[in-house]
This record gives sequence, C-alpha cells and structure tokens, in this order.
Amino acid sequence: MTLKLMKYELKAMLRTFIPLWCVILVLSLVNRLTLRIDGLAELWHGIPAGLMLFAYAISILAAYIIAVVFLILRFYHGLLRDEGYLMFTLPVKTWQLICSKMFSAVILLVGTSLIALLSVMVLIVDNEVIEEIGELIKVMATYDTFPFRAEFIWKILVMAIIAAVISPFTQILQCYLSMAIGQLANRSKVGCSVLSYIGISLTVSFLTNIAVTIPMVARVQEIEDSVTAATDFMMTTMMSTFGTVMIVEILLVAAFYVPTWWILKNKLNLE
Amino acid sequence: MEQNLIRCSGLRKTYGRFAALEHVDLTLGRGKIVGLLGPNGSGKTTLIKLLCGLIQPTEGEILINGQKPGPYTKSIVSYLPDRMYFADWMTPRDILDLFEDFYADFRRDRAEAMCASLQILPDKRIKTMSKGTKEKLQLILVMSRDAQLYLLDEPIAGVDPAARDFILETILRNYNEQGTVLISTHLISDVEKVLDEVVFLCNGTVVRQDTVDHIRETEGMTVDGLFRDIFRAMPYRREPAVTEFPRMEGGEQQ
Repeated sequence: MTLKLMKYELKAMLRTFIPLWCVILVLSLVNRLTLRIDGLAELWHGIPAGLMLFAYAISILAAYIIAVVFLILRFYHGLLRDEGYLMFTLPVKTWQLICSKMFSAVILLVGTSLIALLSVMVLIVDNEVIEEIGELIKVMATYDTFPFRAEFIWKILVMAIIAAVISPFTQILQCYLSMAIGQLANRSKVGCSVLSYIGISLTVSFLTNIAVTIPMVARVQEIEDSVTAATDFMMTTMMSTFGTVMIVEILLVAAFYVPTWWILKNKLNLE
Repeated sequence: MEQNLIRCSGLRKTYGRFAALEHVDLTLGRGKIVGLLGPNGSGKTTLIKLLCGLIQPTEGEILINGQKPGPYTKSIVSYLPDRMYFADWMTPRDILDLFEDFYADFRRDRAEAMCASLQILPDKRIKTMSKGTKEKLQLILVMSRDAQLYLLDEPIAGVDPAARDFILETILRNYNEQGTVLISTHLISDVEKVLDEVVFLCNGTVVRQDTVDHIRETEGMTVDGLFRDIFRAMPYRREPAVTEFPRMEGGEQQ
C-alpha cells in the first residue's frame, strides 16, 4: 500500500520537477558551450554569457526552494486540507500515509541534488579535470605519513555520510511534526505550525549543542603539551562530534516521526 | 457479520468549549436508506466525519460492523464529503486508477459508463471542470463502490432541482442494496420519498429516530412537516417603533 501511495505522490511531484530538472541540465549545457567556444564568452561584453550563468545558478537555487515548498505543501494540502478527506478515508494505515509522503519527498530532494551534481559535471568536467581528479586520488592513496590518522578520517567520513543520509529525513519529519501539531488548533493552523517549527528548532538546537559541547569540554583536560597530542585531540574531538551528530540525527528521526504518527492517528482534526 | 452496521454509544465531540455532539446513542441496521436530518449546525457533518475517522470523539465509542474506525471500516465505507477532495493535477483517469488501486469493491466499468454518459472526458484535468461536473464525478466515484455503508454529506445542497434528481437517481440506481445509505441533509422534501428511516439531530443530540412509515402513521404528517414542527424557530420581531419622542424643556423635539 505504501508503494501504491508513493506512486501517486511521485506522479504529483515529478510532473512539476522533471521539466525543472531538464531546464537545469539544458542551462548547464548552454553554459558549457558559452564558456568553451572561443569568443562566445566575450560577445557583447560578456553580458549574454553572464546572464546564462546567472540563470543556471538561479535555476538550481529555485529547484531546491521549490522542492522544500513542495514537500511542505504536499503534506499540508495532501493530508491536512481538502485532499485529506480522500487520503484519510483510503483503507490504509496512518504510518503508510506519512511514509509515502516522506520517502517521496526524500526522492525529490535527492533527485534535485543529483541533477545539480550532474549539471556541475556537464559544466566543468573535461579531460583536464578528470586527470586532476585522478592525480588527487593517487596522492590520497599514497599519503601514509600518519597512517593511524587515516583510520580517524575514514571513521569520520562514514559517520558524516550516515548523518548526511539521515539529515533529509529529520528535516522533512520536523516540518511534518510542526504541521501535525498546527492542525490541532481550531483556528490559525498555519500560524500554529510555524510557531511549532520555531519551538522545535530552538529546542533541538539547544539540546544538540549540549550533546556536542559537553564531551568536547570534558576532553580538553586530556591535551598534553605536544603537537601530536593536540592533533590527536582534534581528530578524536571531530570524531566524537560527528558521532554525536549522527546519533542525534537518528534520535531526531524517531522523536519527530512517532509524535507525528500518534497525532495523525489519534488526534486528526479535519474540520 | 454484526447485526447492527453502526453503533454509537455515549458519543460526544467538542471543539474547545462548544459541544458539537452530546450523548449520542445511535444504532443503524443494514439495507436501509436513512436520512440524517437537522438544521445547519446540528452536528450532522460532525457525526459523519466521526464515522469516517476524520475527527476523533472526545468521549464515547463508534463501531462500524463491530470495528472502530480504521483501515477495515474505511474499506467498507464509501464517503461523499461536503467539499471537493481532488488533487489539482488529477484527471478522471487518475482518480479512477486510485480508487481501483485502493478499494476492492470499486467497479471501474460502472464508473466509466457513468462518466461517459455525462460526457466527462477521462483525460481532462479535473481542475478545469465546472463545480457541478466535479460534484457529479465525486458522486460517481462514491456510488461506483459496492460498499456496506455510504455516508453522503449534503449531496443535494446548493444544486439546482434537475441536478438534485440526477443525484438521487444515481444513488438509488447504484447503491449496494445489502448496505446502508446515510444521507445528511436539511432539504427534506427532496429526499423524503427515498428514505426508509430518519434520525433527527438537534443541537448535537439525537431527538428522534424512527421509520418514515411510522412517522406518517403516528403523526399524520410528512417527515418534512414533522421537521418543520420540531425545528420551527420564532422569527425575530422588531420592537414597535417609537412614535412619540420625549420633549426637551422648551418644547423642542429631539
């Protein structure tokens, strides 16, 4: 059922986003040609080339902004306004409705990021760039001066990737929870949703700062008076920070998802 | 299978301090067309939304075929809300696909035949249709299901008499005769001829539940007549106009 729900959700989203993604790719291709064809970049004092580059940058920015606005509206209009009368009378469970919206929104954000990355590659990648990247990888692979720290770097990298994968889910679920709380109000539901979002953000930021800072402060005393000890301290501190951020992100997914589900299951208020 | 299709006991729903429903005890059987009648603000829509699970009761319990509102009850209830619930981007084909995907009792061929008879094009954006066509499309979707319970919230409100006939005819021709149809309305004279039973709601309370035949026998009047009797409100009467003004000292009129 979740997949069936996602089918309709993605259909609603992609019909807007596929043209937008195509515009980004076309603009990056146009800019590649403008930058590489001799004399084209300087044509009319470089104004057309500059405008095309500006349009390209704006299109990427716009795609992200529209994606965020879209995922909020798809949840608000799709579940908490008139469309909710259809969605909440389908024979599906509440978690399926939330998950279908959430996974579709993540697909939209990841898709937009991949298109942005692809467009950058279209814009800049040529043989020279590929050779330079190859050289960089070679240098990194043979960089064994501090082998014990390479281990740190890998761990940090893995934790950062996990946190980055979970991060869109927490961002999306925070919006969902704010709207779920906002719909409980009998009037000014949008205002209440915005206030909830601000309240949740402040609370999360306060708690995350405490969670990250306390272990760091506790370990300051371990610094010995040597460069190696200071470097190790920096590395382990970074690792613990990334570790804490990763754990906080995982906890936030649960902390945002469970109340959203509970409110929509037990306190749905489609007036 | 439960003998009673709907059972509400001690049902109460409040919005802040306002009680939309108060101590509602209601039992409805199968195979009937029931009118949920009451003036505006009497709690008809609230009761229907509670039965659909779109809002939650403050107190009391609702059972549909022995189950609390949830995925199972939603699979046997066909609900026509008092508003449009289509997404902007959808076409009739999309919405038919959706109903077919989620409701096992949806009869697509019936829906397509009804759409064709009304010249509703399958690939035309619903957003571009007139309000009347959208309402008809929504009714077609709801009545193309072989549901056990049809909850129709004000299906004939705000439409012209010809459209009313179409709507009532569509309901009568297409509902599952083993199931029950609950129609909420305050336009009683239009629906009276199709009703088997009526439930009168007043200020959130059930004031009478009876069969149409029994009302006619015992009261000697139509359901419409009884409704007017029960809910007759005294019109506001202006105080008699003041004809004489108090005189100020010196005899000047103010």
